[in-house]
Amino acid sequence: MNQYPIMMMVLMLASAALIPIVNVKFKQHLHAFIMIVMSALVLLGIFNVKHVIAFGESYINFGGYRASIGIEFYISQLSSLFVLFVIVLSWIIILYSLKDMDHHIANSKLKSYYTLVFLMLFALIGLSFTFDMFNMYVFMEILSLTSAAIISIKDKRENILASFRYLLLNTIGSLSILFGIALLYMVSGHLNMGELYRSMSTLIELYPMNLLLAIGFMFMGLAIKSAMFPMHVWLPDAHSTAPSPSSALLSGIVVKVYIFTVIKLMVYVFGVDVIRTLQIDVAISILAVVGMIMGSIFAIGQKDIKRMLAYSSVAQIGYMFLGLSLLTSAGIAAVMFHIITHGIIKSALFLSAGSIIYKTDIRDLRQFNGMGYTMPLTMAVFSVAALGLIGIPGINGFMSKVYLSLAIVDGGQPLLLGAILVSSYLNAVYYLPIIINSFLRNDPVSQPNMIAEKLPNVMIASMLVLLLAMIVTGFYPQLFMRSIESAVAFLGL
Amino acid sequence: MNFFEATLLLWLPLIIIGFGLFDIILIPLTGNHTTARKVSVGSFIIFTTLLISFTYSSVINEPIIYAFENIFGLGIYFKIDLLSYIMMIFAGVMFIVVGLFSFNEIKPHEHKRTFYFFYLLTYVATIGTLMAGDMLSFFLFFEIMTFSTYGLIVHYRKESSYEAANEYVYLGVLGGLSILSGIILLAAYAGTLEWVNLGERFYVMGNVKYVIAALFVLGFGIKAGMVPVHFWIPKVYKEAPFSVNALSSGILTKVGAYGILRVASVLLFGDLSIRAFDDVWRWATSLQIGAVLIWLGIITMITGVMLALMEENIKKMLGYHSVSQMGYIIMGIGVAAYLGLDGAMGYAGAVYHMINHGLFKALLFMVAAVVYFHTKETNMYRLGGLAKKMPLLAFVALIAVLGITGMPFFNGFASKSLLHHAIVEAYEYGHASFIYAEYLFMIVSAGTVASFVKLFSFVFLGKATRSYDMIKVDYQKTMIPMGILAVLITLIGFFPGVLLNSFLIPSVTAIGYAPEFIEKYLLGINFFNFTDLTTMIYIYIGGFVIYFVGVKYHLFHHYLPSWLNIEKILYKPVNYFCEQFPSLCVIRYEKPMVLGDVFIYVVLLTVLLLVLVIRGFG
Repeated sequence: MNQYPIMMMVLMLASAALIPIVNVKFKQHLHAFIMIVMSALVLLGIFNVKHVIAFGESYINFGGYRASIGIEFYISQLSSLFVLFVIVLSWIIILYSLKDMDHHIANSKLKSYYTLVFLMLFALIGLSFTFDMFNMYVFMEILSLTSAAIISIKDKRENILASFRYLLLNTIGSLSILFGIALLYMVSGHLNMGELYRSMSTLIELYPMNLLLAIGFMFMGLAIKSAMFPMHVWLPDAHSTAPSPSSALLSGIVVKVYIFTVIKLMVYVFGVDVIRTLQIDVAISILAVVGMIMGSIFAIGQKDIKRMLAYSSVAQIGYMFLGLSLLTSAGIAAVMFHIITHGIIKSALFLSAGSIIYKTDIRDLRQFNGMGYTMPLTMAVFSVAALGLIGIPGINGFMSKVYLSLAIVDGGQPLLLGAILVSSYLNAVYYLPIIINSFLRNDPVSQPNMIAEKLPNVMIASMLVLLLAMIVTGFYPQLFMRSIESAVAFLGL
Repeated sequence: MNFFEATLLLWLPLIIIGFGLFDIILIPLTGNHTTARKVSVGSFIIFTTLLISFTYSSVINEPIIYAFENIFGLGIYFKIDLLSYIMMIFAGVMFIVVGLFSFNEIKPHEHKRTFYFFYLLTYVATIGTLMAGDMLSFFLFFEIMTFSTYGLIVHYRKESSYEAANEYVYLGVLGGLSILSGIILLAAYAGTLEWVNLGERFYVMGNVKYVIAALFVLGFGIKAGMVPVHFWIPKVYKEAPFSVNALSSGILTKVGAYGILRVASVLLFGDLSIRAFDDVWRWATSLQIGAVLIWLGIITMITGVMLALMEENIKKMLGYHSVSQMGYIIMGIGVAAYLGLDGAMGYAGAVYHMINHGLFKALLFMVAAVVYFHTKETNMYRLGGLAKKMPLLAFVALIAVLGITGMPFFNGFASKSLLHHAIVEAYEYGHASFIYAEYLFMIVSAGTVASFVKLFSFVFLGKATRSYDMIKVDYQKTMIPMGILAVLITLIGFFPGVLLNSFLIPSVTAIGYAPEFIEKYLLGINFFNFTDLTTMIYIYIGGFVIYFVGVKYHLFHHYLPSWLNIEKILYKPVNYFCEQFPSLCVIRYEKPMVLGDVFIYVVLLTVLLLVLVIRGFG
């Protein structure tokens, strides 16, 4: 019996409760406790994946109640891989935050911050594994509350405004999803995803309107939460005003889990045939293409670096929805690979932006001249990540573009390649000037040589780990792609 | 020696790239030790070229393939065949010679370290591109080459340098994406990324093969300076240092043409040892694409030479001539594709011209650089009478001019004759309309003569318009690289058959062109035959006529109408879209969008409900 997911969730819940006990005067104790918990979590995640690969997929029924009454978790290969990705990336970001958070919030609030982060991880793991609709809603609510809180913890006016707007829109989204769940329950009497799938064929014939409404509401809610254009409007404020580790967590992980939920719903609950007949995939692809292009257009016009990175996220989420709309196993594999790739790249971008702000307090892009000479390591990480998004081979962003393009052509829509072309070109338009300004526009008087910057060790270490990950996966993408493809094969598309 | 050969055969690409990276990282650390830097850069390039040259004995038999599995998920391959062999040796020679010259141009206080960092990076990327055996590794090194050239162009760090370099790099990114789309489409429809056996699958692909071919030609054409995407060349050449211009004209634009040649020979020929009965169908695609390439080449030739005749800035004029000469090369590649199995002449002419043009264009830029060092002037109308002050320079310049105009016994004659034969064959064996192509070829050659007569006479002959007596003439050190190039130009001119027999004929035979054809036309060709020599005389006479008519009626001071400016038509709108439009969007729409979030959601919800209700009643 696969106990690891339950152990993971209990661990996060328990440590979230234990953190307030640790005396914050000894910050090293707090840091040690956090990193020990996170490392234990990573180990559990790895064991979980190994267990699933060795023994196959399984179900966990809480309290021993059978599926139709109780809460069920479905530990599939795809969700285990996704959870492992979430945990490892959080490990790196939390390592970075140990030193960076001092810059943003007072000591007394540090404990609250990590409690919130751990609760957020608890909700993320639960949301990925859950196989019950209402349980999904519960975890979503926990997730939106905690993620709103890690934005507003900074206590500045813009943060509180941004977090309030985030919360407002997320609640609208959650209510929308709840309404969809209610509509489904109304006609089928089931909350369990497996049961819903089995009764789907009868439901289509008896209550097509209900089904359509349910899909519409649920999809609209999830689209708001995962920032699909034009429902993305909360993202720039939220991700740019939040402290850098929070931005990285939100942009790299939280947004992705909603896309993963969309995949789960489309495959496990409704089935791809229903989606195709209702032509929802066409609607998604149109909105995705618009998002890819408009997200980049808005990014070009930005002056603040974190705001620009936030709009860049909107564009990349468009890529993911485009791959999703293909509804083929190559498409889903490409989306999963891009989720992991973009998670790594966006975290690298946000963490290096955070280091720059930590060291020099510069957020305006017009002041980046010669930044590569004052902070070479940071700008190197930033440049590699940006070049990956533009599409230079050897960095994992390029491989995800290739996989996505191949999936698009295989899926029978070669015209969409043009959208990827235009969007990549627009990516170059706003990332290249930053790289050029930082390395080739240095002031020869004040910045004659590159001097390695003095940053706290954990910050440099986390950025270098991400850099290594980007380059290694860029040259050997099959390290991830093989596991992803075998996991996606289980979906039976 | 066996161990040495074995190592070479197994690990050459890794050795080159590994040492290259090591050397590149070493450069910023050399600090102010000029000699150490010069030695490390120079020795690396010489070392690599020597290593590559040692593979000749193996390459002449069959191409060497290095496979590195598991990289990029599919494995990458490096391949040295006769074409890449000669291109890599040529690249090594060019980088060494231009590097020697650059020691005179790049003065100590001007970012010397950065310059050589990018110089070496460009060299490694160029070798990587030439050695690449599959599309992904080709694309990787091609992109690195594009970006490292940016660093070379902005050497002077002026605002105008950045503007010109930005235009180049955005076009370069666009070209790269175009090539990538071609690669993806090819991989998706052919089912593989390897370069072998693509020809079989290519010609059955349906209409998508024209899209793929167009994408590749556009992408490589941007790099090669093909019309209509040539307009970055004059802008960039005006701003960059002379050494960078020499490098770009000499070898970097050739990589673009090499790309077209590679793609054409892989896609359109495939495995020629299999002569199937449906040869007609296979060659039909080759015919169409070849014809388009020939006309693109002709248009490029004409545009380049016309704009060069009207130009007064020496750097820009030489840049336009580069565009024009690349037109010759593209036309040659077009003939190679058009005539199919009989296209050996076009192929050989194109590659020969790549080498020759690199040699004399680099020499011309070096001469222009020396003139600039002494007079600080790049406008040819304001110069004059320099032959008296710098006779050796004038002599070397004369050699280069004779080379580019195609004087017998200088290298240009050999390659231009081959290309002339190629276009005549296109007309004889192919469609009759190519006779006009041949006429245009002759006119452009005459135009080239006229343009260089103009350059030489305005710069070196006549009376000095300003008093240049006060200038201290010192260009001893520059004579070494210039001398090397001049000697090569003359040697190839006197013995044109040597290159042909050692490299080009084995290369075309290896690709699989019809051996009967090669034997009849190429093997043992007598370059100095009566017909070709008289053709040259006519071209020279025509050139002088154009020059005298132009000078008498002040035709060279006209400008093209401004609506014909391609840069304005193509680039400026895209630039506007990418720079002004986003700012507009952000300023006008962002705030309302962010504040109107609930409104957006309500609107969407209402629309959704309406749609559902309507469909429900339907």
